Amino acid sequence: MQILLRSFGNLRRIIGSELHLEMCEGSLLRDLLLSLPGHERLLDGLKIRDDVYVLVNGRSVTDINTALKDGDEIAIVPAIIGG
Amino acid sequence: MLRRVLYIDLTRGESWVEEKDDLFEEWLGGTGVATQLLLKEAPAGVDPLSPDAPIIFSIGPLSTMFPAMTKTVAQFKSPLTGELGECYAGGRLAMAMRFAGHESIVIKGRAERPCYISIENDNVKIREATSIWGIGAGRVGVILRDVEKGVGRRSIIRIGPAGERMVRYAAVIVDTYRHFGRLGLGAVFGSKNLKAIVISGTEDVSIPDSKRYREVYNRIYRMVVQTDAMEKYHDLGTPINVNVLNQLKGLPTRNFQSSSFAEAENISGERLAEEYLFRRVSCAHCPIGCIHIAMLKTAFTPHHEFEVRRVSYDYEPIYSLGSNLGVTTAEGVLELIDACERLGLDAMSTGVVLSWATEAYEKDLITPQETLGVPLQWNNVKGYIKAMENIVAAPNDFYAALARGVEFAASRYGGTDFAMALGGNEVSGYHTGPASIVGQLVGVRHSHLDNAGYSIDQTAAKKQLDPSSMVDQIIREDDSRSVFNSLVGCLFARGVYTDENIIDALGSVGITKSREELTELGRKIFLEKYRFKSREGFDLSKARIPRRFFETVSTLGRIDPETVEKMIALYKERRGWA
Repeated sequence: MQILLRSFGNLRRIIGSELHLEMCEGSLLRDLLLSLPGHERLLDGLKIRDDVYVLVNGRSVTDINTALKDGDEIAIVPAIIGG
Repeated sequence: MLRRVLYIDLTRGESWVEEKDDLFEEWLGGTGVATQLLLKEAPAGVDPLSPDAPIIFSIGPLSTMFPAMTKTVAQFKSPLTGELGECYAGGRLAMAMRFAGHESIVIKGRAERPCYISIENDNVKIREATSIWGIGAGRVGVILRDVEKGVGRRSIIRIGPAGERMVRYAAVIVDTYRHFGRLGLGAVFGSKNLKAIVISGTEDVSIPDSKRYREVYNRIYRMVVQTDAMEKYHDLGTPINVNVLNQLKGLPTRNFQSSSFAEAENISGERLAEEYLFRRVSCAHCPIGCIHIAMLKTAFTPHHEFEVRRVSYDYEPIYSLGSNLGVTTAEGVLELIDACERLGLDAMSTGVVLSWATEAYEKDLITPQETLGVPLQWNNVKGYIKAMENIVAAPNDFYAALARGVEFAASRYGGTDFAMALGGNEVSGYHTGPASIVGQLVGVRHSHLDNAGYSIDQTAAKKQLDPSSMVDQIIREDDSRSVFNSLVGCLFARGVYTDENIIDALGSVGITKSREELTELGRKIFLEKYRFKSREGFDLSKARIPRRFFETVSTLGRIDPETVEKMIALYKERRGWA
């Protein structure tokens, strides 16, 4: 199945801004995240780090065992920064 | 430790220094001390633009002695909101005040003619400024650099035409790239016929135990430069938030009519860094380099080459003058930021005022006669620049109303439901959820920086936070920031300055404070600020919340007005105000 992945901010340098990924049927979000370069910047053990947001089709997802499906759009976003 | 307050009376042309050990002992410095000086020096109910209204500047006990302790706080009565005016700026001002030997400066009165103040240690001169009145803030800096002493150890702060004409949200520009932006300090300068202040000095700072100081200093310095605590501020800086908020549906767009912007990538931190960033600079005594400077290349005149302007950019101006005005190009945003610099306007208030005016124009609340033919349309950069110039020149009642802020303009022309101000202050760029709204509403200066409600919303996007725990977090931030702002550190470094590090740093310069004492001090300072706010007429029960906040989907979905009301009630109860 085809997955479109976009990343933002400082993560872009590590992951790339836009990737078209071919994943096996039945893949989970964790499979995708663990396949990415610099995945230690995204995961704290088997949890998404507090300073990273993963959106699947625009909705924030915290469960890395979320099942992916063909055509999913995933955004990996760092936390808001500021004073 | 120098605990001195420099007083300057522009009416009488006099200055004097007072030692205020007790004041600094009790209130630490920075905002704690400034609040006491403001309560004492500002007569109750004073007109913020009258000679009797004071301007206070304060630094803190760690200023210039520890990394990122770089800010100066300014307090005054705001001509925009009519209550507490408070804003912070970096640059070199804290360093220059430290070298000059003054932890606070109080300016009162009104000069008969345009003037600027030259401060070198205790030597204060009030100088004629007629020849630089009417000149843009950038050019004034160039002129004063030539005629004043103190190269390398000085700071030059000044106003542009907006301050001279007392636009209620005029800024003071600090050392070219930093600002006392919010709540109209520039107008207070203008009301005093005060164009600029140049300050420098040669004082030393004595350290009681230099070995201990070095140990603590090195530990904190390593945390700043060798961990990832502050790296993000150097790298893309706060403009990283454009794409982040756009993805999280929290990026105010076209006057908060939407929380995502189709063209966000074009004005994002990533795009600016790739195509326009040409250098990063730091405030004095900060190793981070978070001030991002873009190179804006524009055609000079027909048949000539190009003009290159250096424009500093952060997230807030990109929101207010970018997505919130529907501006789709980085050049357009940089042009608008540059116009604010030239005129000496606060970029955040200006953007929110113009976004309200654009929507009001679309809804026929304003006529083309009132805009004097200026096309107030989303993404019309040239039209917006002309409107900014008219806000400063005030050629008619409409632009004069815009110069008084969005709250006032909407009270005259209608459209209060989409006049995006809280506590009378134009709002910041986070449509993240209820904590952002409540945080700005209850905050002492009605700023997102009072308690970072947006950050609480962001946490709630991942894990359930009920209104009660959100309110507790807002109160904790209100109070702890009152301590940090008394040190006048850069809020970007608040993760480095843990309670333990603050206690150790203070101890190394001879100030002993326990965690409990600091917690209590934070609460006291906060309440003292509310004492000033209440005295000058602010009433949280009567504060208006624009309906637009509840109409547009936020990061946390549609915001329920009842949740916000409940949080305000909880806040008042926990502050003991219910």
